[in-house]
Amino acid sequence: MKRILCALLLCSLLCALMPDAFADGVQQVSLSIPCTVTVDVGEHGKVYSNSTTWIGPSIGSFQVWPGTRVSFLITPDTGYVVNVLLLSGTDVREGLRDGLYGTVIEHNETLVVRFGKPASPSPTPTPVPTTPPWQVTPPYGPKTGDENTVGTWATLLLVSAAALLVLSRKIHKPHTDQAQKRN
Amino acid sequence: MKKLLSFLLALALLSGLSVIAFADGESTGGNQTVNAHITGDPSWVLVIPADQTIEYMAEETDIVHHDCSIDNPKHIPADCTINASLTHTGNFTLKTDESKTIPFTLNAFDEEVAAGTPVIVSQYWSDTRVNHCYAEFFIVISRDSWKSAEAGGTYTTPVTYTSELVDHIVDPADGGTDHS
Repeated sequence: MKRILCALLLCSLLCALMPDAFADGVQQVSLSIPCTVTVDVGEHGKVYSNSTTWIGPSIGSFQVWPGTRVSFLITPDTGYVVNVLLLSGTDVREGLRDGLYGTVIEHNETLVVRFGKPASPSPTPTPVPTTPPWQVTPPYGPKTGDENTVGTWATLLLVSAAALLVLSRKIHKPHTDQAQKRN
Repeated sequence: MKKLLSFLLALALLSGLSVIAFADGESTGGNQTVNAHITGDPSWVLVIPADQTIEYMAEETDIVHHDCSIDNPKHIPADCTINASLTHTGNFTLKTDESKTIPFTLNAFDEEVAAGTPVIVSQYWSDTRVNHCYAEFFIVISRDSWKSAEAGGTYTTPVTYTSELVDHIVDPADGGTDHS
């Protein structure tokens, strides 16, 4: 019994004297994946961003770290305007100010730019004059540039005839006045 | 006599049980330190490499840079070794979605180290009082793994460093053979 106890004692003492000590530490190793921005430019314009100019038609791409604000300077050729501005399928034309469009990149994005002729302004309807019902406008009055002069001449003849009639009456009227005075 | 032996036995057992090793750490600029405290005389400071960021599309990255060491060893018994080892998980995990990972391998001594298997990085030999840090612990990420990673994502992986006092001389090149 004594021997067993002694052996146990020695064993315990050895364990106590030779501890397996340890210490832990953690090194965090990390990596980040950049976002790819693809620029798809149509003809009749160019896009400048990230120190690169894409002259349409062309497609290019560049990479930025997430959270980076990227600006695009969009310049249509003379006589053209930006017709389509899509960021990953979403219409972002409202964000275009003086040819500049900016956005913060968080994921891969594709910017599609298309140029076109400005839409011709729709003709403003000329107000139709509302003529009162008692004012009758001749359906065929003389107009400048009319080549058909028959109506014009007929009108002139009628006016001339009327004028002659009035004048002839005026010429005869004084004689009657003088005859009355003599009487 | 029996009583005396029993008392001594109980005392020895208690002292054996009360050997508590614990560690606390701090980051000092570049490297991080972990202090090993033992309720006996032996003590040391484990210095581990600072947190590190791997460059995008880098296929091999040294993560230790000779920056793992056992500093300020005190009262280390003769013919003992303090081993500092590292273990890795084998995967980077996306911070925002732990289900998304990037696999990697850790190459040490020109051989692949399996995930979860400790590999000795640094040693202190009490007989020669030499502290040596081994080099060339590379995290290897394949090009395909890089390409399949989530754009805009940040991935991390913990590399755990452990130090321990062992009562014989260990050579990592021999897979931990006792040289004593």
